[in-house]
This record gives sequence, C-alpha cells and structure tokens, in this order.
Amino acid sequence: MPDIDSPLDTRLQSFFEEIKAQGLPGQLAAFKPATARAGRRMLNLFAGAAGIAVVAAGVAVFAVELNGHHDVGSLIPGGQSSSSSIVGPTPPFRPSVPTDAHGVKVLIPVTYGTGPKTLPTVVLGPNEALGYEYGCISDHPTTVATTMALVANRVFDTSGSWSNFLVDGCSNPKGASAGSEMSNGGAGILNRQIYRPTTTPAPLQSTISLRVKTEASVNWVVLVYEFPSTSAWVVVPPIPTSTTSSSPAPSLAPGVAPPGATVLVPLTYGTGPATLPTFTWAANDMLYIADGCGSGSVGDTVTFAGDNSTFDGDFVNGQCSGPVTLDGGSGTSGGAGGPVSLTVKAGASLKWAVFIYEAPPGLLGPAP
Amino acid sequence: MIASATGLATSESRERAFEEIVGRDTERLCALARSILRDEGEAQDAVQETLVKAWRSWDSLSRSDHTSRWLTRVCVNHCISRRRYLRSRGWPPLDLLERAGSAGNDGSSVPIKDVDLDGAYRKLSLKQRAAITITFGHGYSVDECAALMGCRPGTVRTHVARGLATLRKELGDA
Repeated sequence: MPDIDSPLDTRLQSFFEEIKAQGLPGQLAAFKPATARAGRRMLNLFAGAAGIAVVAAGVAVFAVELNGHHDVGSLIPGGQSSSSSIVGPTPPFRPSVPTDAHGVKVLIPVTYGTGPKTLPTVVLGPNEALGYEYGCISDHPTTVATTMALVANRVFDTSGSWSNFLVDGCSNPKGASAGSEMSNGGAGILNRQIYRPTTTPAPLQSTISLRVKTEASVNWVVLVYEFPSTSAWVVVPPIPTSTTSSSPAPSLAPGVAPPGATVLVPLTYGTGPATLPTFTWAANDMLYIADGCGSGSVGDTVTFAGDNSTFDGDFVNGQCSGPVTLDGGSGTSGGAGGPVSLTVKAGASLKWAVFIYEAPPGLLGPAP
Repeated sequence: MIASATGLATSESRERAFEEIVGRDTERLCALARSILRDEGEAQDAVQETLVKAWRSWDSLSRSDHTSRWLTRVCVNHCISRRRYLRSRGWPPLDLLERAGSAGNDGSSVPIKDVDLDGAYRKLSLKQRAAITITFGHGYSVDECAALMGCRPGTVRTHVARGLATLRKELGDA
C-alpha cells in the first residue's frame, strides 16, 4: 500500500471502514442463483426484445396541475391508486393503461412518491408482457438536471448485460406547462414502455422487484401492468386509412403537436425507401422529428436523412423489430432555416412512420 | 427418472455451493462497489451483475482456486466501466448525477460522517477511486490492485497519486 500522510490516511481508513460497516442490502442477501436462472429464461423472451424495448408512444395532451395533488382515484378497473404525501409539484400527468388493450392486469396501481423507493414485488404471469408508465417532476430549473429510472431487479437480457434502465429526464413546472406528451426519454414527459416477448414464448411466471431510482427531491408517479404478450398492441384512436403505405397500416399513435408548435410533416406512414415532402424550417426554431419503424428484424434501421446544408443530419431509428411505435421526437437546434427535404432509407419491407414539427426555442424546453 | 433425480441433486448442490460463495464474498464486494461508485443503487447493480456473471460461469469458476479474486476483478471492472456501460444503455444524465454527487451526498448513498472527505472523494475519477479503495480501503498491494483493475502497477500508482493529490487539494492539504 502506498504511503500517505497520516491525517489523510486516518480519515481514509475511517471512511472505508464506515462504508464496510453498512452491511449487506436485503436484495443482495436474498440473491438466489435460481432467480438468476429464471431471469435468463424470462429474458430470453425479453432478450429478443432487449434492443426492441417497444416504446408505445402516442402523443397525448394531459391536464397540467402544478403544485397540487391529483385526484388519485383509480381510473383503472380493478386497480387501486396510492399516494404518499408528497411535497412540491405533482407530476402533471396521470398514467393509465391503454383503454383498448385487452387482458390488462394492473400489477402496481398508480402510485405517487418522492425520492428513491422500492416498489412492491410483482409476479409476471406466463406469456405476459410488462407495461410501465412513469413520470417525474422536480423544482430544478432545468428539465435535464434531474432523472428518474424504474429499475427492475432482474436481468432482462441474456447477453450478460442489463437492459432494465428506463430513464426519463424529469419535468419541471415550467417545462411541463408547455405541454405534455408521451415519449421515451424526453424531458418533462410521461413515459410508457413495454417489454414484450417477441421471439420466444415466456411459459413461466416470473417475480420481478422494481425500484424507483431518483434524487431525493424528485416527485414521481408510476403504474405497472401486464397484458398477454400475444395480443396486438392497439393504440387509440384507430389507425388512419389514408397512408402512403400499400401494406396494412402499422399500429401507431397519431401525431399531435404540442401547443405552440407548428406541424411541418403530418404523421405519415410508409414502407421502404421514400422521400418526404419538402418543408421549410423557420430560422432558429427547434425541429422535432418523431419517428418509428417496425416489422423488421433486430438490427434493422430506418434513417431519415437530410440532404442539404439546412439540415444535413441523420435521424436513425434502430427499434424496428417489433410493432411500429412513434417516439416522442428528437429535437435539433435551429439554424439559418430554409427548405428541408428528408430521404427515408429503409429496407423494402420495413414499415415506418414520421411526424415532424417545429417550435420556437424554449417553448418545449431543451431538446430531448 | 433416475437421471432426472440425479440431475436435480446436482443442480441443488451446485446452487448450495454457489450460495456459500455468495455469502462469503457478497458483503465485501458490496463495500468495494459502494466505495468506488458512491451510489447505493449503482453499487447493488454492479454486485448483482457480478453474481449473475459468476452463476453463469459457475461450472468453470467452481473448479477454480481463485473464486474470490475472480469475483473481485469482475466487480471492479463493472464499477470502473459503469459510465461507459450506462451511456451505451441510454443513460445520458449520468454526468449530471456525478456532478450533483460531487457536491456532496445526493441522497443515493448512505451518508458518511466525514462529509468533506466524501465530497472530495466523489470528485475523483472512477479509476482513481478504485485504485485508492482497493489499496487503502481493502489492503491489496499495488501489484494485486493492478491485476484486479487490468492495468500496470505504474498506472495504479499514478491513479493513487493523482487521487490523493486531489483529495489533499480539496481538503486543504489535510
């Protein structure tokens, strides 16, 4: 051991001894190899879906209630809401199960809380997929300064790595009031994520421990449910019939721009390569491209590529192996503005969807 | 039928042997991960990931005389590569978390009495923390620490020296 000066040495020794004395957390003390094995089995199913974490996104507008508690009466048949006494802003959105998803069983009802918390253990039934909805809010001045993750105490992957982080940048009152939408990973947003076995049946039930990981000052809300993995994920309202696709329309949420935003390319469905209509991007506005793809294999991607100096970036979506779902819109900073023509690069049979809008800087918060 | 029963017995004894190792090493691994990461959730994740990896490799690992060393090395590597791993898993705000953590306890780890030292320690890189934790906190030699971290002894000395220099600076030459 290298020599150091005595005062620092003493302090470091005390520091490490104090950490050692903290003991073994219950979750690790209860670790059983059988659990790990079951996890692998379950994740076989989820594994196919590991990269596919199907994000059922729909753009929806939620009532915003700041600095007050929501009525936490359950909207879910058979479900109970629970709410701890939280101080400060309440997440300005309320999770709910999809109204037309069949066979939904609520595992953890709508629950509000503050700071880190271990949620009740849930049992995922045989051949069931798991749905999470969660969001968070804090008083931090910027939306990206706080985070919330719903962490499953299980291995959702057979590759030896974890894929159980479901991450959100927390909202703040200012950001949330600009409009809410469902998305994956955007700031100030209610997340919905679905883990659905797509490649392997999940014949056995599995026990899953969940915990909310976030800063102590963050208020959050969460809902967890299961539904038959074989059922189609249906999103309301019904899929439009007028699409550019010659194939059946993908199951997709309709695009609705947040208040104050301007739609540049309305929700458009397609299959395979295409060129989108040219639109004009206003100088200095933020450009948001919500896109999705599906019906492909793991590794398939769809690229929305710009082709001129106004917009020369690429938006690549690699979650094309499940049903088509629309993400919440990746933002990019505005520039001089001008016409933009995007080319869709995708396999011939790959289904995709895109919805593009712009908003003045600051209206929707920082770019996701 | 006989083969099934034998297989079951083998499976149970395999699990028992594994759980003995878990009981012997998990607490030590947990302290190691807590010291390096200074985040209770991340530390638990790193340890659990280590245990899962151990279970998957148990057939070969159980025949090794160096199980504890193997577990320690895997755990350390999980800890010091956590940032890269989390980024690959879509964890963009980690820097922000670390920044928040560097200012003091962020609520995600058990508070330490020596708040100043904890705050200064959080300003070290993960590799500096690992080198100092392994050598000062857990009594390994520099050579052993190098083996655990997968680097050269000279690199460990550098991490330790720079880490200690930062601590002294932050603590006002304590």
